[in-house]
Amino acid sequence: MRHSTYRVMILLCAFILLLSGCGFRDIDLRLFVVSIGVDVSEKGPNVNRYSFKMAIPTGDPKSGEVKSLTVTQESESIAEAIRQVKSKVDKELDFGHCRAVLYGESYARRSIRSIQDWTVRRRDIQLLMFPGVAIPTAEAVLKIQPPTERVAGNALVLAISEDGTESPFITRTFAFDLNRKMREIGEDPVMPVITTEGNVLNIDRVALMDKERVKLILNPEDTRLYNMLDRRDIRTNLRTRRDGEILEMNVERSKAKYKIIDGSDGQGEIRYTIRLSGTLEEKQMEEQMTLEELKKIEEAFSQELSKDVTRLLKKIQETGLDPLGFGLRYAGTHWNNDTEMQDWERLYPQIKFTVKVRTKIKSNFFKR
Amino acid sequence: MKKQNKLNPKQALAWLHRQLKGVSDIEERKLKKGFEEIDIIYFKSMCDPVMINNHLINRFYELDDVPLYLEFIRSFPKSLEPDREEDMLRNMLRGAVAIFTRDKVLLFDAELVNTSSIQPASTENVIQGPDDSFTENVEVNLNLIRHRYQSAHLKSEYMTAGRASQTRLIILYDDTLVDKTILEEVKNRLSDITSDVIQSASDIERSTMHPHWRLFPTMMFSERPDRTVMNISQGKIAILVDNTGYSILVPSIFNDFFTAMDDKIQLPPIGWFLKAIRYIALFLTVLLPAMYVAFTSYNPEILRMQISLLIAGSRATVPYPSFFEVIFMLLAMEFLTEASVRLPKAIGPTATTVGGLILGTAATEAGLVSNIMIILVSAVAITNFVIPFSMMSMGIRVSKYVFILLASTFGLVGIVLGMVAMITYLTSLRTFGKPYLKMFAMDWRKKGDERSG
Repeated sequence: MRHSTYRVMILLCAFILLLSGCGFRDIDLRLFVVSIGVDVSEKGPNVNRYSFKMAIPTGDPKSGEVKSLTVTQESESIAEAIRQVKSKVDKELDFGHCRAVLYGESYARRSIRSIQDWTVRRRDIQLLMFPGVAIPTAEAVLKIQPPTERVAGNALVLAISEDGTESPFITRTFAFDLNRKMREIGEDPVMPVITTEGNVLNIDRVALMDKERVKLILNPEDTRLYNMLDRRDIRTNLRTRRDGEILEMNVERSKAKYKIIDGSDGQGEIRYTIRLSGTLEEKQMEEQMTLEELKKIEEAFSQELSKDVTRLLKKIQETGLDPLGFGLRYAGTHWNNDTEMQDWERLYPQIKFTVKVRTKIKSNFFKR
Repeated sequence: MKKQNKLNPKQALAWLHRQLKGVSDIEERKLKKGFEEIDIIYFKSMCDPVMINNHLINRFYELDDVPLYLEFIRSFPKSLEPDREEDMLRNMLRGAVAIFTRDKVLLFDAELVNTSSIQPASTENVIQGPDDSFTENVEVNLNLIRHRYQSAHLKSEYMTAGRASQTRLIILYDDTLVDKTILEEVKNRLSDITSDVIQSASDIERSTMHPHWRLFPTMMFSERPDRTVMNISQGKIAILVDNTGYSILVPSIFNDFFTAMDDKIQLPPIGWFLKAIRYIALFLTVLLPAMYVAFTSYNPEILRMQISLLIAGSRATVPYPSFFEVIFMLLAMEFLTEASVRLPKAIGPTATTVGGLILGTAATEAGLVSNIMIILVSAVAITNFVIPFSMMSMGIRVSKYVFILLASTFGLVGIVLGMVAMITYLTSLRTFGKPYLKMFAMDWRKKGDERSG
């Protein structure tokens, strides 16, 4: 008798397995938002235009069909916008695969703080999302579908994360890093700038920001130098001229380090040492290469780069921004915790830059 | 001191006739030579007629008188004089011939053994290496082992188990290597067996191991003499069971079930690689279906976007939730496996072809299951067969359903929970006092760990 009661109980419990419940949504009932765009709206200062790009799954991977849907919603807050978008689509929105958040240029020049805070705060958005500044608007960038795209919404992420292409002009920034730098004393955030060119995306500039808004967008040439200072081993080409002939070097390894030197006269100095090594890729001169000639070429590269980097550093200094984190380094290497940041703020506007570059051309192909 | 026979031949014969009423494969012969007369009774089915003719009947007429004849019979090591009638009957049932003279009862062993010849191993195959497997005769098996382990330290102790079956067991060990406490424990547990019939090695396991409810085997059955010898040389105890083609190796830890003889035959790095593959297969076969459920229903953000979209796309037509899909497909696979094991060899391939076709193509084309699911089910099936011992792979086959259940109720957290529970369970198991999940057979505590008792 008792045994049979147990059996009935177990059987009843087994039936519970058949109920899937309301909250249980399989992957096919979810709509993956792959990127979010934020723009200013013409409706008023408090209203923004939010765009959500969603990937539409295709059943047959061989068809090569890439479909996505961009839904735009104007609202006062993004939380509200999402709820409104939910009623425009048939499936549950899932932000688990949202890998990019784009700020339209005019929005980014105002303030990105609230949205950036939202992306970090929301539980289902991953912290390794990639923020960026979109020109002309985020919506325009989201709507572009490059012909090389194989998975909906993936092209932008592949480029901006440098998982796909590896370009010296792309400054990769993570959301968690951006958020950290927005609060950090002595280091200012940066974001890559994404522009549209026909139906392809172009990411070749970097936007320097104060704590929450874009101040300066560097041109591609400066962006490359900035990346060289910021990271190691940028693969790029460098150009110099010698007797009017162009020489191109393929940089394979690069390393930039600096020292902040407190001058006794109240004027400090930042000494940069950049080491480059690579191969000579293009030589328009006719003469055979000799060892002395090679030394001279290396010297020419060094001087050219030194001049450019100094110019870039001065340009950044003039804006008062500190994207390379000099202030953080200064604070980290000084003991007077109460006054060091005031000292630094006094010091930074007049600091001097000396840049020393050592170029090494490894394989010069005398003969082949 | 002249030993006195307690059995009165006349009474014993009468008793025997009463007992054997209705048994038709009994053969009784009266041999007469002058005044002398003996009775020979034996089971036709159990005794070797050639042996009886040569040793008992011919000799009776050749030798001068009955005492000499009895001396001759007593010179055989296996002949004996029973003390009680029950003993006599039991020995007769084992193949002894009862000889009744005027004042004595003697038993002569003329057992006829019908045994299959030594076959190549069928469940533990190796690529290169010895191919013999145990037969169903315990003596032949002992011979196979002695051949491979020629040392006087190899001790063999005989026991019987099972009230009705009286199955013969041989406990084999190297007395210089064996752990004496484990040996005592093994003997105690074997003598505690209360079942009537012991027919297979797993009967021994079932009635000796604690707790009775286990998912994973703690005794290893091997059909390979070389593995048995290897384990004896590692200080383990082998139990040979008559009428089963297997030896039981104790104590066996988790890691032993993932060792194939190939590991020793191949070069060491290749052996490690093979073992690593088996452990990877273990994780895959247990976790893949559960992960599919967790990733498609709870945590799609863990996968790469490409795969998420692929799964979402291929699941678009699937009407039921993911765990249904998984359970249906896995059950179909289990049916297929079961069917192909039980089917006669001639029909087996048909079943697999039909099943494979239905499972593979038709189900996806009909949109009932996703493409990914098919890949997953076949991966699960294949990885399950990588585990070299069928007892272990059965336990693992069952445990993956536990993980599916956990994944479909708690998602990825459930899988983690299940992993913790599984590891806790495995570490709690003991095999004859040895910790079961002792990985890589390393002795971390040399000074005797009291807690692992």
